[in-house]
Amino acid sequence: MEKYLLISNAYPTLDNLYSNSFLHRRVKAYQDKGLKVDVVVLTTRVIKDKFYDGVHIKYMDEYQIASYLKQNAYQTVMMHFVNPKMFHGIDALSKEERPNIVVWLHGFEAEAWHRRYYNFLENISQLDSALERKDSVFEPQREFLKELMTRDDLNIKFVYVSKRFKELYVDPYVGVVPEKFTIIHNIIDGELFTYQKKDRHDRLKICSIRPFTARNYANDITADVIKQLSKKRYFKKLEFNIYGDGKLFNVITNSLQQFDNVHLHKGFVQQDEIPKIHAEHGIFLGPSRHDSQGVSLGEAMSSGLVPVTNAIGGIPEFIEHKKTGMLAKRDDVKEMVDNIDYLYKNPKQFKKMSKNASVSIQEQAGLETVINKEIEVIVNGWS
Amino acid sequence: MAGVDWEKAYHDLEAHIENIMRETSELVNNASPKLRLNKIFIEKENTLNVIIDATGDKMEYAIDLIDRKGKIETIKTGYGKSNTFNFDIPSGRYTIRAYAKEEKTNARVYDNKSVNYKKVTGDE
Repeated sequence: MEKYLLISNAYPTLDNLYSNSFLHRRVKAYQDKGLKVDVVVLTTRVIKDKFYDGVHIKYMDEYQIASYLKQNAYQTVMMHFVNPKMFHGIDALSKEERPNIVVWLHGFEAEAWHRRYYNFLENISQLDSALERKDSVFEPQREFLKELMTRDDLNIKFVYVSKRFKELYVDPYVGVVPEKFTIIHNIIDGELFTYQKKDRHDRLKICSIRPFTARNYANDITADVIKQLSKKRYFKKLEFNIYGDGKLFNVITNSLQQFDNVHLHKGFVQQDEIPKIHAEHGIFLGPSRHDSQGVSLGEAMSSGLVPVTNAIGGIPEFIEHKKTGMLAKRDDVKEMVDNIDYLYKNPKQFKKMSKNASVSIQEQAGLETVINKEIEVIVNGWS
Repeated sequence: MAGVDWEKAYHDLEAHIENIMRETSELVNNASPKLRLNKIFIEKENTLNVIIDATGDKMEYAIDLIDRKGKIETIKTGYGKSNTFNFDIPSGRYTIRAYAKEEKTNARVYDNKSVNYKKVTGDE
Protein backbone atom coordinates (compact mmCIF):
# COMPACT_ATOMS: atom_id res chain seq x y z
CA MET A 1 0.00 0.00 0.00
CA GLU A 2 1.29 3.44 -0.92
CA LYS A 3 2.25 5.62 2.01
CA TYR A 4 2.06 9.40 2.27
CA LEU A 5 3.86 11.72 4.63
CA LEU A 6 2.72 15.12 5.82
CA ILE A 7 5.39 17.45 7.22
CA SER A 8 4.46 20.69 8.95
CA ASN A 9 5.74 23.20 11.49
CA ALA A 10 2.97 22.26 13.96
CA TYR A 11 0.13 19.78 14.39
CA PRO A 12 -2.68 19.67 16.93
CA THR A 13 -2.34 17.47 20.00
CA LEU A 14 -4.40 17.04 23.16
CA ASP A 15 -2.25 19.75 24.79
CA ASN A 16 -2.70 22.15 21.90
CA LEU A 17 -5.91 21.43 20.05
CA TYR A 18 -5.86 24.47 17.81
CA SER A 19 -2.33 24.35 16.44
CA ASN A 20 -2.86 24.04 12.67
CA SER A 21 -6.11 22.18 13.35
CA PHE A 22 -6.97 22.50 9.65
CA LEU A 23 -4.18 19.99 8.92
CA HIS A 24 -5.77 17.39 11.17
CA ARG A 25 -9.10 17.87 9.41
CA ARG A 26 -7.30 17.07 6.15
CA VAL A 27 -5.41 14.04 7.48
CA LYS A 28 -8.60 12.53 8.90
CA ALA A 29 -10.35 13.07 5.59
CA TYR A 30 -7.45 11.49 3.66
CA GLN A 31 -7.61 8.50 6.01
CA ASP A 32 -11.37 8.25 5.49
CA LYS A 33 -10.66 8.08 1.76
CA GLY A 34 -8.26 5.18 2.34
CA LEU A 35 -4.89 6.96 2.24
CA LYS A 36 -2.24 5.89 4.73
CA VAL A 37 -0.82 9.15 6.03
CA ASP A 38 2.01 9.67 8.54
CA VAL A 39 2.68 13.01 10.18
CA VAL A 40 6.02 14.61 11.07
CA VAL A 41 6.41 17.95 12.80
CA LEU A 42 9.68 19.79 12.18
CA THR A 43 11.17 20.90 15.48
CA THR A 44 14.58 21.38 17.05
CA ARG A 45 13.23 20.24 20.43
CA VAL A 46 13.29 16.62 21.58
CA ILE A 47 9.66 15.56 21.84
CA LYS A 48 8.28 12.04 22.18
CA ASP A 49 5.82 10.80 19.58
CA LYS A 50 2.23 11.74 20.29
CA PHE A 51 -1.08 10.24 19.27
CA TYR A 52 -4.05 12.45 18.61
CA ASP A 53 -7.45 11.28 17.40
CA GLY A 54 -6.04 8.25 15.57
CA VAL A 55 -3.02 10.06 14.11
CA HIS A 56 0.59 9.21 15.05
CA ILE A 57 2.69 12.39 15.21
CA LYS A 58 6.50 12.22 15.11
CA TYR A 59 8.73 15.16 16.02
CA MET A 60 12.03 15.51 14.18
CA ASP A 61 14.69 18.02 13.25
CA GLU A 62 15.84 18.34 9.65
CA TYR A 63 18.58 15.69 10.03
CA GLN A 64 16.21 13.18 11.58
CA ILE A 65 13.76 13.82 8.75
CA ALA A 66 16.57 13.10 6.28
CA SER A 67 17.36 9.74 7.94
CA TYR A 68 13.68 8.91 8.23
CA LEU A 69 13.10 9.53 4.54
CA LYS A 70 16.08 7.34 3.64
CA GLN A 71 14.60 4.48 5.64
CA ASN A 72 10.95 4.95 4.69
CA ALA A 73 9.69 5.13 1.14
CA TYR A 74 6.75 7.46 0.60
CA GLN A 75 4.93 7.99 -2.66
CA THR A 76 4.25 11.63 -1.89
CA VAL A 77 5.50 14.00 0.80
CA MET A 78 3.12 16.87 1.61
CA MET A 79 4.60 20.01 3.09
CA HIS A 80 2.79 22.85 4.84
CA PHE A 81 4.57 26.10 5.74
CA VAL A 82 7.66 24.94 3.88
CA ASN A 83 11.11 26.33 4.64
CA PRO A 84 14.69 25.29 3.81
CA LYS A 85 15.03 23.18 6.96
CA MET A 86 11.85 21.28 6.18
CA PHE A 87 13.16 20.56 2.71
CA HIS A 88 16.60 19.40 3.88
CA GLY A 89 15.46 15.76 4.10
CA ILE A 90 14.39 15.75 0.44
CA ASP A 91 17.69 17.26 -0.68
CA ALA A 92 19.58 14.61 1.27
CA LEU A 93 18.05 11.92 -0.96
CA SER A 94 19.41 11.07 -4.40
CA LYS A 95 17.25 12.10 -7.33
CA GLU A 96 16.07 8.51 -7.79
CA GLU A 97 15.10 8.17 -4.11
CA ARG A 98 13.08 11.36 -3.94
CA PRO A 99 9.33 11.03 -3.46
CA ASN A 100 6.76 13.19 -5.19
CA ILE A 101 6.31 16.48 -3.34
CA VAL A 102 3.28 18.69 -2.81
CA VAL A 103 3.88 22.07 -1.19
CA TRP A 104 0.92 23.99 0.22
CA LEU A 105 1.36 27.75 0.33
CA HIS A 106 -0.86 29.30 2.97
CA GLY A 107 0.29 32.83 3.71
CA PHE A 108 3.22 34.34 5.54
CA GLU A 109 5.75 31.80 4.25
CA ALA A 110 5.19 32.96 0.68
CA GLU A 111 4.53 36.71 0.86
CA ALA A 112 6.65 39.83 0.71
CA TRP A 113 7.71 41.05 4.13
CA HIS A 114 6.06 44.42 3.61
CA ARG A 115 2.55 43.12 2.84
CA ARG A 116 1.70 43.24 6.55
CA TYR A 117 3.45 46.56 7.06
CA TYR A 118 0.82 47.75 9.57
CA ASN A 119 1.92 45.06 12.01
CA PHE A 120 5.31 46.65 12.53
CA LEU A 121 4.42 50.33 12.49
CA GLU A 122 3.56 50.52 16.17
CA ASN A 123 6.98 51.93 16.93
CA ILE A 124 10.33 52.54 15.30
CA SER A 125 12.03 49.53 16.89
CA GLN A 126 9.41 47.18 15.40
CA LEU A 127 10.07 48.68 12.00
CA ASP A 128 13.85 48.41 12.47
CA SER A 129 13.46 44.78 13.52
CA ALA A 130 11.37 43.98 10.43
CA LEU A 131 13.97 45.64 8.23
CA GLU A 132 16.69 43.54 9.85
CA ARG A 133 14.66 40.37 9.33
CA LYS A 134 14.19 41.35 5.69
CA ASP A 135 17.77 40.33 4.90
CA SER A 136 18.22 37.55 7.43
CA VAL A 137 14.87 35.77 7.16
CA PHE A 138 12.57 36.99 4.41
CA GLU A 139 15.05 37.21 1.56
CA PRO A 140 16.49 33.68 2.07
CA GLN A 141 12.92 32.32 2.18
CA ARG A 142 12.11 34.08 -1.10
CA GLU A 143 15.25 32.68 -2.74
CA PHE A 144 14.39 29.23 -1.42
CA LEU A 145 10.87 29.32 -2.88
CA LYS A 146 12.11 30.64 -6.20
CA GLU A 147 14.61 27.81 -6.43
CA LEU A 148 11.97 25.26 -5.42
CA MET A 149 9.65 26.49 -8.16
CA THR A 150 12.28 26.36 -10.88
CA ARG A 151 14.31 23.22 -10.09
CA ASP A 152 14.07 20.49 -12.69
CA ASP A 153 15.33 17.67 -10.47
CA LEU A 154 12.12 17.49 -8.42
CA ASN A 155 8.71 16.04 -9.07
CA ILE A 156 6.87 18.82 -7.31
CA LYS A 157 3.44 20.48 -7.31
CA PHE A 158 2.24 23.58 -5.48
CA VAL A 159 -1.14 24.24 -3.93
CA TYR A 160 -2.34 27.80 -3.36
CA VAL A 161 -5.30 28.48 -1.09
CA SER A 162 -6.77 30.99 -3.52
CA LYS A 163 -6.13 32.34 -7.01
CA ARG A 164 -5.89 35.90 -5.78
CA PHE A 165 -3.46 34.87 -3.05
CA LYS A 166 -1.27 33.38 -5.75
CA GLU A 167 -1.54 36.27 -8.17
CA LEU A 168 -1.43 39.19 -5.75
CA TYR A 169 0.83 37.95 -2.98
CA VAL A 170 2.94 34.92 -3.97
CA ASP A 171 3.71 35.41 -7.68
CA PRO A 172 5.10 38.94 -7.39
CA TYR A 173 7.00 37.96 -4.24
CA VAL A 174 8.72 34.92 -5.69
CA GLY A 175 8.93 36.33 -9.22
CA VAL A 176 8.18 33.03 -10.94
CA VAL A 177 5.19 30.73 -11.36
CA PRO A 178 5.76 26.99 -10.90
CA GLU A 179 5.01 24.63 -13.73
CA LYS A 180 2.57 22.51 -11.76
CA PHE A 181 0.15 24.19 -9.42
CA THR A 182 -3.48 23.93 -8.33
CA ILE A 183 -5.77 26.30 -6.48
CA ILE A 184 -7.39 24.45 -3.59
CA HIS A 185 -9.05 26.38 -0.80
CA ASN A 186 -8.87 25.64 2.89
CA ILE A 187 -11.78 23.52 4.08
CA ILE A 188 -14.90 25.23 5.36
CA ASP A 189 -16.41 22.46 7.40
CA GLY A 190 -20.12 22.28 6.64
CA GLU A 191 -20.69 19.70 9.35
CA LEU A 192 -19.39 22.03 12.03
CA PHE A 193 -20.71 25.23 10.46
CA THR A 194 -24.15 23.99 9.48
CA TYR A 195 -26.49 26.38 7.69
CA GLN A 196 -29.18 27.80 9.92
CA LYS A 197 -31.95 29.73 8.22
CA LYS A 198 -32.01 33.38 9.20
CA ASP A 199 -35.08 35.58 9.60
CA ARG A 200 -35.29 39.33 8.98
CA HIS A 201 -34.59 40.15 12.64
CA ASP A 202 -31.25 38.36 12.53
CA ARG A 203 -29.80 41.17 10.41
CA LEU A 204 -29.95 43.32 13.56
CA LYS A 205 -27.61 40.96 15.36
CA ILE A 206 -24.02 41.55 14.36
CA CYS A 207 -21.05 39.59 15.61
CA SER A 208 -17.32 39.70 15.16
CA ILE A 209 -14.98 36.86 16.14
CA ARG A 210 -11.39 37.86 15.46
CA PRO A 211 -7.98 37.70 17.08
CA PHE A 212 -6.89 41.06 18.50
CA THR A 213 -3.22 40.22 18.12
CA ALA A 214 -2.34 42.20 15.02
CA ARG A 215 -3.66 45.01 12.86
CA ASN A 216 -4.31 42.87 9.79
CA TYR A 217 -7.47 41.68 11.56
CA ALA A 218 -8.66 45.27 11.29
CA ASN A 219 -10.65 45.30 14.53
CA ASP A 220 -10.03 49.04 14.66
CA ILE A 221 -12.25 49.29 11.59
CA THR A 222 -14.96 47.27 13.38
CA ALA A 223 -14.85 49.82 16.21
CA ASP A 224 -14.98 52.74 13.76
CA VAL A 225 -17.90 51.19 11.89
CA ILE A 226 -19.88 50.80 15.13
CA LYS A 227 -19.12 54.38 16.12
CA GLN A 228 -20.33 55.61 12.74
CA LEU A 229 -23.44 53.44 12.96
CA SER A 230 -24.22 54.97 16.35
CA LYS A 231 -25.25 58.12 14.46
CA LYS A 232 -28.02 56.22 12.68
CA ARG A 233 -31.55 56.48 14.03
CA TYR A 234 -31.91 52.70 14.12
CA PHE A 235 -28.65 52.11 16.00
CA LYS A 236 -30.40 51.13 19.24
CA LYS A 237 -32.17 48.32 17.39
CA LEU A 238 -28.84 46.75 16.54
CA GLU A 239 -26.97 44.40 18.86
CA PHE A 240 -23.24 43.81 18.59
CA ASN A 241 -21.20 41.04 20.14
CA ILE A 242 -17.44 41.35 19.79
CA TYR A 243 -15.42 38.22 20.58
CA GLY A 244 -11.66 37.89 20.65
CA ASP A 245 -8.48 38.31 22.59
CA GLY A 246 -5.04 39.82 22.19
CA LYS A 247 -2.95 42.81 23.15
CA LEU A 248 -5.12 45.17 21.08
CA PHE A 249 -8.48 44.15 22.60
CA ASN A 250 -8.72 46.79 25.32
CA VAL A 251 -7.09 49.52 23.24
CA ILE A 252 -9.55 49.05 20.40
CA THR A 253 -12.74 48.28 22.31
CA ASN A 254 -12.47 50.86 25.12
CA SER A 255 -14.29 53.43 23.03
CA LEU A 256 -17.19 51.01 22.51
CA GLN A 257 -17.98 50.64 26.21
CA GLN A 258 -20.21 53.72 26.02
CA PHE A 259 -22.78 51.77 23.97
CA ASP A 260 -25.32 49.59 25.83
CA ASN A 261 -25.97 47.48 22.76
CA VAL A 262 -22.30 46.59 22.20
CA HIS A 263 -21.22 43.57 24.22
CA LEU A 264 -17.52 42.87 24.57
CA HIS A 265 -16.46 39.27 25.16
CA LYS A 266 -12.74 39.23 25.83
CA GLY A 267 -11.23 35.76 25.56
CA PHE A 268 -10.17 33.08 23.13
CA VAL A 269 -13.17 31.47 21.47
CA GLN A 270 -12.85 27.69 21.10
CA GLN A 271 -13.73 26.40 17.66
CA ASP A 272 -16.68 24.35 18.91
CA GLU A 273 -18.20 27.46 20.51
CA ILE A 274 -18.29 29.37 17.23
CA PRO A 275 -21.32 27.63 15.64
CA LYS A 276 -23.41 28.62 18.68
CA ILE A 277 -22.38 32.24 18.27
CA HIS A 278 -23.11 32.04 14.54
CA ALA A 279 -26.58 30.67 15.32
CA GLU A 280 -27.44 33.78 17.34
CA HIS A 281 -26.41 36.36 14.74
CA GLY A 282 -27.20 37.35 11.17
CA ILE A 283 -24.26 39.52 10.13
CA PHE A 284 -20.56 38.74 10.52
CA LEU A 285 -18.61 41.98 10.70
CA GLY A 286 -15.11 40.92 9.71
CA PRO A 287 -13.06 43.69 8.14
CA SER A 288 -9.63 42.66 6.98
CA ARG A 289 -6.42 44.15 5.70
CA HIS A 290 -4.83 40.91 4.63
CA ASP A 291 -6.25 37.48 3.89
CA SER A 292 -5.22 34.71 1.56
CA GLN A 293 -8.71 33.21 1.86
CA GLY A 294 -10.64 34.49 4.86
CA VAL A 295 -11.48 31.22 6.59
CA SER A 296 -13.40 32.78 9.50
CA LEU A 297 -15.56 34.68 7.00
CA GLY A 298 -16.18 31.44 5.12
CA GLU A 299 -17.17 29.63 8.29
CA ALA A 300 -19.66 32.38 9.13
CA MET A 301 -21.05 32.19 5.58
CA SER A 302 -21.44 28.46 5.89
CA SER A 303 -23.52 29.00 9.04
CA GLY A 304 -25.72 31.45 7.12
CA LEU A 305 -24.32 34.78 8.27
CA VAL A 306 -23.89 37.57 5.76
CA PRO A 307 -20.25 38.71 5.82
CA VAL A 308 -19.43 42.40 5.82
CA THR A 309 -15.79 42.79 4.95
CA ASN A 310 -13.24 44.29 2.56
CA ALA A 311 -12.34 43.48 -1.04
CA ILE A 312 -8.72 42.69 -0.31
CA GLY A 313 -6.44 39.69 -0.86
CA GLY A 314 -8.28 36.45 -1.51
CA ILE A 315 -11.62 37.59 -0.08
CA PRO A 316 -13.37 38.64 -3.34
CA GLU A 317 -12.79 35.14 -4.66
CA PHE A 318 -15.26 33.86 -2.07
CA ILE A 319 -17.67 36.75 -1.63
CA GLU A 320 -19.62 38.38 -4.44
CA HIS A 321 -20.81 41.83 -3.47
CA LYS A 322 -24.56 41.96 -2.72
CA LYS A 323 -24.91 38.29 -3.74
CA THR A 324 -23.10 36.38 -1.00
CA GLY A 325 -21.91 39.22 1.22
CA MET A 326 -20.99 42.88 1.33
CA LEU A 327 -17.58 44.15 0.25
CA ALA A 328 -16.03 47.54 0.86
CA LYS A 329 -12.73 48.93 -0.36
CA ARG A 330 -9.64 48.62 1.78
CA ASP A 331 -9.96 50.52 5.08
CA ASP A 332 -13.18 52.20 3.89
CA VAL A 333 -15.25 52.66 7.05
CA LYS A 334 -17.98 54.70 5.34
CA GLU A 335 -18.55 52.04 2.70
CA MET A 336 -18.79 49.36 5.38
CA VAL A 337 -21.35 51.44 7.25
CA ASP A 338 -23.29 51.87 3.99
CA ASN A 339 -23.17 48.11 3.51
CA ILE A 340 -24.70 47.42 6.92
CA ASP A 341 -27.20 50.18 6.21
CA TYR A 342 -28.12 48.34 3.01
CA LEU A 343 -28.71 45.10 4.90
CA TYR A 344 -30.79 46.95 7.50
CA LYS A 345 -32.96 48.50 4.82
CA ASN A 346 -33.24 45.36 2.67
CA PRO A 347 -34.29 42.45 4.88
CA LYS A 348 -35.37 40.34 1.90
CA GLN A 349 -31.99 40.76 0.28
CA PHE A 350 -30.35 39.91 3.59
CA LYS A 351 -32.22 36.60 3.79
CA LYS A 352 -31.40 35.77 0.19
CA MET A 353 -27.72 36.60 0.68
CA SER A 354 -27.61 34.50 3.83
CA LYS A 355 -28.75 31.40 1.92
CA ASN A 356 -26.56 32.21 -1.09
CA ALA A 357 -23.50 32.67 1.11
CA SER A 358 -23.82 29.25 2.67
CA VAL A 359 -24.46 27.43 -0.60
CA SER A 360 -21.69 29.26 -2.41
CA ILE A 361 -18.96 28.73 0.19
CA GLN A 362 -19.80 25.05 0.52
CA GLU A 363 -19.62 24.63 -3.25
CA GLN A 364 -16.23 26.30 -3.28
CA ALA A 365 -14.60 25.03 -0.11
CA GLY A 366 -16.77 22.27 1.36
CA LEU A 367 -14.99 19.23 2.74
CA GLU A 368 -15.76 16.88 -0.16
CA THR A 369 -14.81 19.43 -2.80
CA VAL A 370 -11.48 20.25 -1.17
CA ILE A 371 -10.47 16.72 -0.22
CA ASN A 372 -11.30 15.24 -3.62
CA LYS A 373 -9.18 17.91 -5.30
CA GLU A 374 -6.33 17.39 -2.86
CA ILE A 375 -6.31 13.63 -3.24
CA GLU A 376 -6.22 14.05 -6.99
CA VAL A 377 -3.13 16.26 -6.60
CA ILE A 378 -1.46 13.98 -4.05
CA VAL A 379 -2.09 10.65 -5.76
CA ASN A 380 -2.43 11.26 -9.50
CA GLY A 381 -0.76 13.14 -12.32
CA TRP A 382 2.85 12.37 -11.47
CA SER A 383 5.28 11.83 -14.28
CA MET B 1 5.27 28.00 -17.60
CA ALA B 2 2.84 30.89 -17.14
CA GLY B 3 4.33 34.18 -16.07
CA VAL B 4 3.65 36.54 -13.21
CA ASP B 5 0.85 39.02 -13.88
CA TRP B 6 2.91 41.98 -12.82
CA GLU B 7 0.32 44.55 -13.82
CA LYS B 8 -2.37 43.01 -11.62
CA ALA B 9 0.07 42.62 -8.75
CA TYR B 10 1.24 46.21 -9.14
CA HIS B 11 -2.26 47.65 -8.97
CA ASP B 12 -2.92 45.70 -5.78
CA LEU B 13 0.34 46.89 -4.25
CA GLU B 14 -0.37 50.46 -5.31
CA ALA B 15 -3.56 50.36 -3.24
CA HIS B 16 -1.30 49.65 -0.27
CA ILE B 17 1.22 52.37 -0.86
CA GLU B 18 -0.93 55.32 0.18
CA ASN B 19 -1.78 53.53 3.42
CA ILE B 20 1.86 52.67 4.02
CA MET B 21 2.78 56.34 3.57
CA ARG B 22 -0.04 57.58 5.79
CA GLU B 23 0.72 55.18 8.60
CA THR B 24 4.43 55.79 8.36
CA SER B 25 3.69 59.50 8.64
CA GLU B 26 1.68 58.83 11.81
CA LEU B 27 4.51 56.75 13.16
CA VAL B 28 7.08 59.44 12.49
CA ASN B 29 4.88 62.22 13.88
CA ASN B 30 4.14 60.31 17.05
CA ALA B 31 7.62 58.90 17.48
CA SER B 32 9.78 60.04 20.34
CA PRO B 33 12.74 62.02 19.05
CA LYS B 34 16.09 60.32 19.42
CA LEU B 35 17.84 61.46 22.58
CA ARG B 36 20.77 63.77 21.91
CA LEU B 37 22.56 66.62 23.63
CA ASN B 38 22.68 69.56 21.25
CA LYS B 39 24.61 72.26 23.07
CA ILE B 40 25.74 73.51 26.45
CA PHE B 41 25.19 77.26 26.80
CA ILE B 42 27.28 79.19 29.32
CA GLU B 43 26.53 82.63 30.78
CA LYS B 44 29.12 84.23 33.01
CA GLU B 45 27.54 86.72 35.42
CA ASN B 46 27.70 86.96 39.17
CA THR B 47 26.80 83.29 38.97
CA LEU B 48 27.89 80.73 36.38
CA ASN B 49 24.73 79.89 34.45
CA VAL B 50 24.50 76.72 32.41
CA ILE B 51 21.67 75.80 30.06
CA ILE B 52 21.48 72.32 28.55
CA ASP B 53 19.86 72.11 25.15
CA ALA B 54 18.87 68.51 24.41
CA THR B 55 16.32 66.64 22.28
CA GLY B 56 14.36 63.67 23.60
CA ASP B 57 11.19 62.50 25.27
CA LYS B 58 10.34 63.74 28.80
CA MET B 59 13.86 64.57 29.86
CA GLU B 60 15.68 65.31 33.10
CA TYR B 61 18.95 67.18 33.37
CA ALA B 62 21.97 67.18 35.66
CA ILE B 63 25.40 68.76 35.92
CA ASP B 64 28.70 67.77 37.46
CA LEU B 65 30.80 70.87 38.00
CA ILE B 66 34.44 70.03 38.48
CA ASP B 67 37.00 72.55 39.70
CA ARG B 68 40.03 71.72 37.63
CA LYS B 69 42.40 72.87 40.33
CA GLY B 70 40.51 70.94 42.97
CA LYS B 71 40.00 73.94 45.27
CA ILE B 72 36.33 73.21 45.70
CA GLU B 73 34.66 69.85 45.80
CA THR B 74 32.90 68.67 42.63
CA ILE B 75 29.27 69.79 42.61
CA LYS B 76 26.78 67.14 41.51
CA THR B 77 23.31 68.58 41.07
CA GLY B 78 21.39 65.32 40.57
CA TYR B 79 18.64 65.01 37.97
CA GLY B 80 15.78 67.49 37.82
CA LYS B 81 13.22 68.81 35.35
CA SER B 82 14.93 72.16 34.78
CA ASN B 83 17.58 72.47 32.10
CA THR B 84 19.00 75.66 33.62
CA PHE B 85 21.55 75.72 36.45
CA ASN B 86 23.10 78.63 38.35
CA PHE B 87 26.29 78.13 40.34
CA ASP B 88 27.50 80.68 42.87
CA ILE B 89 31.16 79.75 42.72
CA PRO B 90 34.52 81.52 42.90
CA SER B 91 36.35 82.47 39.73
CA GLY B 92 38.39 79.63 38.29
CA ARG B 93 38.75 77.01 35.62
CA TYR B 94 35.99 74.43 35.60
CA THR B 95 34.85 71.44 33.62
CA ILE B 96 31.13 71.16 33.17
CA ARG B 97 29.73 67.71 32.50
CA ALA B 98 26.13 68.10 31.36
CA TYR B 99 23.68 65.19 31.34
CA ALA B 100 20.26 64.65 29.81
CA LYS B 101 18.26 61.48 30.38
CA GLU B 102 14.85 60.24 29.41
CA GLU B 103 12.53 59.58 32.32
CA LYS B 104 10.88 56.55 30.75
CA THR B 105 13.84 54.65 29.37
CA ASN B 106 16.65 56.01 31.57
CA ALA B 107 18.67 56.42 28.38
CA ARG B 108 21.38 59.04 29.06
CA VAL B 109 23.67 61.31 27.05
CA TYR B 110 26.33 63.71 28.30
CA ASP B 111 28.92 66.14 27.08
CA ASN B 112 31.82 68.09 28.64
CA LYS B 113 32.67 71.72 28.34
CA SER B 114 35.57 73.67 29.83
CA VAL B 115 35.01 77.15 31.13
CA ASN B 116 37.31 79.85 32.43
CA TYR B 117 34.99 81.65 34.81
CA LYS B 118 35.60 85.08 36.10
CA LYS B 119 32.95 86.16 38.52
CA VAL B 120 31.27 89.40 37.44
CA THR B 121 30.42 91.52 40.45
CA GLY B 122 28.01 94.49 40.60
CA ASP B 123 30.94 96.94 41.01
CA GLU B 124 32.38 96.13 37.61
